[in-house]
Formats: sequence, C-alpha cells, structure tokens
Amino acid sequence: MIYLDHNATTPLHPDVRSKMDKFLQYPMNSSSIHSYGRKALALLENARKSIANLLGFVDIFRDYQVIFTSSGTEANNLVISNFINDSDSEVFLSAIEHHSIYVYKDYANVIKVNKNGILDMSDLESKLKRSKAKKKLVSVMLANNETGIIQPIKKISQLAHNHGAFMHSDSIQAVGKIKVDIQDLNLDFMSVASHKFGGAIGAAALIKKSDIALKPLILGGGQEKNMRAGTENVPAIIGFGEAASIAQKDLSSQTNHMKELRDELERNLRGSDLDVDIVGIDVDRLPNTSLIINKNKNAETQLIALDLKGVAVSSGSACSSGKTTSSHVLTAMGYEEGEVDSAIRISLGRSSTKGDIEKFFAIYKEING
Amino acid sequence: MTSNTMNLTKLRQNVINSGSTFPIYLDNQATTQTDPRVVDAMMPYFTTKFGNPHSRSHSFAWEAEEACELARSQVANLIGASPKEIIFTSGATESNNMVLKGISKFYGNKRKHIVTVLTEHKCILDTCRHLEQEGFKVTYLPVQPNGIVDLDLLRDSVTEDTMLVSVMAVNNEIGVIQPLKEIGKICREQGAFFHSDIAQGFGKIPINVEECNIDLASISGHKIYGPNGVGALYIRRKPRVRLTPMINGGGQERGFRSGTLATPLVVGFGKAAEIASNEMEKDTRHVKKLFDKFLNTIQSNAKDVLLNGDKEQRHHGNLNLSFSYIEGESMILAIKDLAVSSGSACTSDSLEPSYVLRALGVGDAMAHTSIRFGFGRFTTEEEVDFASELILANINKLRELSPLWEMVQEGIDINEIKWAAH
Repeated sequence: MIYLDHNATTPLHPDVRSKMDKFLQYPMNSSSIHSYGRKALALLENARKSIANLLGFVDIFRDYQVIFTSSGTEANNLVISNFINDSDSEVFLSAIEHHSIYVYKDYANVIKVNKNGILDMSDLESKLKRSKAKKKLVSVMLANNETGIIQPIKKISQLAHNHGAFMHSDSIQAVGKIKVDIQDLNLDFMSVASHKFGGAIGAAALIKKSDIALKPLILGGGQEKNMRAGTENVPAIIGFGEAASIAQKDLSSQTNHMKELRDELERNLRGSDLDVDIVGIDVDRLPNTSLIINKNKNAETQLIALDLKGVAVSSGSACSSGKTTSSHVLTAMGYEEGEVDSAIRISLGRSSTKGDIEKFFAIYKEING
Repeated sequence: MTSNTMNLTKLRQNVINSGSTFPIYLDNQATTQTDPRVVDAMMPYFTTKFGNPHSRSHSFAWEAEEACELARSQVANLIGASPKEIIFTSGATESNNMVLKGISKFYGNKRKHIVTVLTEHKCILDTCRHLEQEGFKVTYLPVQPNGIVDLDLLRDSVTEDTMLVSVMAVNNEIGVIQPLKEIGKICREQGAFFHSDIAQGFGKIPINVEECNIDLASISGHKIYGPNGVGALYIRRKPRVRLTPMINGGGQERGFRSGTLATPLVVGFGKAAEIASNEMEKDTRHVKKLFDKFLNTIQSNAKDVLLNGDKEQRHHGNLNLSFSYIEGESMILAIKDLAVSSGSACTSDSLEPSYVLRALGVGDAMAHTSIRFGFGRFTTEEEVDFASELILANINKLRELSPLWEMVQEGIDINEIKWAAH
C-alpha cells in the first residue's frame, strides 16, 4: 500500500520511535518530586527547547512560551476561545482556515481570499479599520492543509499589528515541511502539531509570546505554568521534541526531496492528455502537497478506485472527509461545485519515493482516462 | 552494624535479585508504568498502522478507525456502558473540565447549583471556582474523619436547583471509596446529574454506571497501566445527557470533542481496560496483600503512625500514612530509595499541607509528615518488605532527633503544654 496522505498524519519517524521506546514503559508524571518525576520533567523541558529551536527562538521563557496541548485542534481552541468568549474582543479569520478555527466563523469576521487562495489584504484592512473592539485577534494559517498554499504571514502580521491586533497563525501543516521562524513572521501565537511531521500523535503546542496573558481552557493541577492542566503526555512530547530536532537537521534536504517528487508528478499530470487543474500552482506552496482537480470526475469514486489499487490519498482535510459537505477552502477560492467535488489531495512525506508517484500517476491516468 | 541495617541490606539484595531497580516506584496514583502488553498493542499503530482514523478514503484510516472502535468497547465494557457513550479525551483533567463547563453551559439557564466535595481532585475544585465567578452556586461538602462523604448532608444539599453533583469514586490522595450507589440514588430523586471522577477507581474497583446511576464519568488511561495523554468521558444516552463541547473543530467524537484521535494511545488505553477487566480480582488481591503486610509491619513495630482514610472502604493500592513526632518533610527526604509522593502529584511542589488531609481534620503538622504509598500491579513483595523496613529504620532515627518525641517518652502530654509566645 502506498501512503500519500501525509497531511492527515505521518508515520512515526524511526529515530523518534527508538527515542520513545525507551520511555514508553517508564512511569512519567513530570509533577512528581521523586527521581522518576524529575527525569520526566527534564525530558519535557528538553523537548520544549528542541521545539523552540526549530521555530527560531532560544529563550523559552523570556520570548515565547511553549504550552503543550493534546492536539493542534486544542491549541487552536485555546487561543481562539480567549477572544471569542469575550465581549471586548473581535476575531478576524480567513475563509480557508482549518475547521478548528473556521468553526468559530459565525462569531468572527471572515476575511476573503483571492482566486489563488491568498488572503485579501484590503478586506482584512477595511475590517480591522472598522472594528471598535478593545482586543483584536487575526488568525490566518501559514499553509493550508488542503491546497498547501502558503500565506504571506509576515505582511499579514504587520497589518494586524498596525491595527493593534494580535496575530495567530495555525502553522500545523507548515512546521517540519518548510522553514518557519516565529520571530521573523512576527507572530504572537502559533499552533504546532507533532504528528504532522514524524512525531507522535497526542502532542501539540500553542506557542505564545510570554508577555501576553491568556486564560487556560483546561483548569486544574497548574501544569504548563497554569496554562494547561492535566498530566503532560511525556512520552509523546519526547517524540515531538525528537521530531523537531530531526526536522531542524535535515529540513532543506527533505524539502527538496518532496518538492522534486511533487513537481515531477505535476509535470506528468499537466503533460498528459488529462484535463487537470492543480490548485495554487502559480503561488507559493508546501513542497509536499498537490491538490488535483479533474472537473466532474467525482473524488469519492477516484478515492475508492485508488484504494482498491493500493494507493491511500484523500479528498481534503481528514476530519471532514467523512462529511458530504464540499470543501469550504475551494469554495472560498471561487471554484465551482463540479471542480470542488473532483479534487483529490496528494501529500508526500519523507519516506515517499519516485516509485510511489509513478504508480499513483499510472493509476490516476487509468481511472480518469 | 545494627540488626536493623543488616536486615535492610539483606532486603535490598532481595529487591535486586527479584529484578527490580531503585528507586522503588511506589507512586501508582500519580501515574502507572505502562503494561508491556499495552505497549505491544500500541506500537503497530505508531509505525505501520498509522492512519488518521477520520480519513474515510483508504484502508490505513479504516484500520485505525476499527482499532479505535474496539478500544471504545473495551473501555465501555469495564463500567457497563455502551460504546456510544464513550468519548475519548486527552485525560481525566480534560474530561472533568468538559463536564463541569459543558453541563453548566448547556443547562445553566435552568439550574444554577453544583454540589461537590472538599476532597475532590484539584481540577474539579478549580473549575468549580471558575464557575462561581460565572454566577453558579457551588456547595463544597465536608467529609467525615474517615474521608467518606456524609450522605445525610449530601441529601440535604441537593435541591431542585441542583444541576450537577460531582463526587469522585476513589480519592487520589487517601484512596477511600465514596458510596456512589447511594449518591446516584439521591441525584436521581432530585433530577440532578451525577458526575463521578472515576480516574482512580476505573479498572481497580468494580464500577457500573447503571447500578450507580452515574450520568457522566471521567476516566484516565495512565492510571491503569495504559499510556499517558488519553482518557475518556462517559456520557449517558438514556436518558440523554447533553453538554456544550469545550474543544471545537472537525466534529470528531460525535461533535463532543474535536481533534484527531491519537490512535496508538486510544488502542493502548483500550488494551489496558481489557487487561484490567480480566485481572481486576487478581490485582485487588495483590495490592490488598501488600497493603496488609506493609501496614502491619509498620504499625506493630512503631507507635503513632496513622493511616489516613477509612481502612476498609478503600482501594488498597493506596496507603497514606502520617508519622507523628517527625519533622515535616524529613521522612520523605530520608527515604530516597522509594519514589513516593507527599500529596497529589500536581500539587506536590507546593509547601501547603494537603487540602484533602485538612478536610479529614488532620492537623497541619501531621499533614506535613504524611506520605502516600501507592502499590500497583508491578509492585513486588520484596519491594514492600524493603520499604517497610526502611521506613521503620527512619522512624526511629528521625524521632531520636525530635524533642517532642522525647517529651512523649517521658510521659508528658504535649497537647497540654502551654507554649510561650515569642
């Protein structure tokens, strides 16, 4: 079976696995004062540093704080809930956000994107100008999970800050695939998840600027500097930290590896006699993602055929792929129903090979020809 | 060499010979080591069967989804629930938060009163305080000196305005078991929802949600030899209990809790529940034997060592002792070979005496000298023999340093002493 759905989740990197292996059976509650607890705490703080390093900051307490959560969805909820449930606040989110942000659209200003999936800066600016809220939050994802399209976050942050708004970026799909520097992007908040780049599922983080106060979503034992109660998932966090260290070491070679394969696949698709459209091909995208539209060829039918022939791909975001509703991302970009419903997503990982994409291409041609 | 140290040396050797390592882990209420069978069950879902269970388009995903559904029934079976009533979360703290906030949001315009107990886990008490700020009225019930809630008091406190009663099954610090059946009955009569934080009881004592009329129950994976980072919330379907979700997004877990399910953790949790279900009697006999041996050895060889919490109505994996005439933390510092806790793990870095012991009426001095010994499936008799001998050796040593102990030996009743003010 060929796995081409790495934006949904990735297999555990072998080095992450061997690092976690040692600790999976070890009793680890980092709040305990005995040596088992202190060891767990040391491992936890070590992981925190690796994640900080990957994201371009060193001082994990002075500059930014890494708050471990159970999932990227929880990290997104943690930051958004601080601004949604507050009458003094207003939230501005893009029309292509992940469900864990987009679910709050009815309580927020939704900012348009253009045909290429890039945020409409003038729409954001006029909405920010009009706002009279004391506290404002702009939330725009760094790279989209369905299309891979990368937003000009640095410019968006600048605009947000010019209007006194805080800036959050759901960077879950980007981290580990492209270089992400939180200070360069000038973010106040960022969400990251481990299982999207070879780390363990069950560990994620909200990174927040240290001098900004947030209210926790989960109250209790005072863990994570009172920002997130509950015994930390130390083994998974160790895996998260290890995945971050690995990504930092070989990010550029991985980026090139995935991009070469992806570009070859897209060249083949466009050079064939199939009438395909690749979403976002003219703009900056993640090196591993290709969203292929083949108008009026139903995605579900394609996915079933691909699965029968041993290729695992998806029609979009994993959490919504069980639903029958169309992708709000493609709809926001102005695609028509027949196009939206035909889109399938190929997302490569570090273990993907030339053979994988060749096989995919052959099958794709066969079922759509 | 005294006979005591000779004995200790021999017992230490026994521990080593039996294959255990130091420090001896006696903190099974904070977390448990993952059962090797659980690790074996989890591993494939990290490496080869790693699909996202919410993808619907390929066999990786179906395989993961199937495994999660099996785990859901394994967890449900252990408490007599239906799999559809189990929502996976990141742990009991999240489940507890979800219940208190979610029920308050959903039903808060009808009823405004919550009843809980002073000895609940910190995350229950913290969330209740938060709800008080939002306009809810919370009754914090005291407990009897044995740590058990007074049912008459509880009955009087639950009124027509009571939305939720939250009482834990087994206390994390002292191990006592609350009378869930009776509490459930009172709640049903008044039409209040009954929530129980069963994190310390799940898999250790029989709990049946039907018999106890439990409407909501919080469960943790890493307290039952399962992995960290996974837990569950039981939500009754008949009659249906609703709540507003805390984490929104992709609508996983039937909309109650969004976020990708951590398949390997869920699988490990299910396996741990299955093992607990098969081996509960054996595990119970095992910890009871260790409990009796440890307590008898200490109490028959040293005076004034008190067990906190009821001796019978408890989970015997938990043994919380206060050592009279021993200065504050000196005992825990003297027994570095034992990994134990002086209170609930999440509060053990604070110097405040345990609020749970305080609620039992234990004085500050005695609370400061208390230690929780947590026995579990993997605790051996050799370890417990060494632990009790080590404790006894240190009781004698530390009491020799205590002026109070000297006075007691001389027959002075120290409660009668009028201390001069400084």
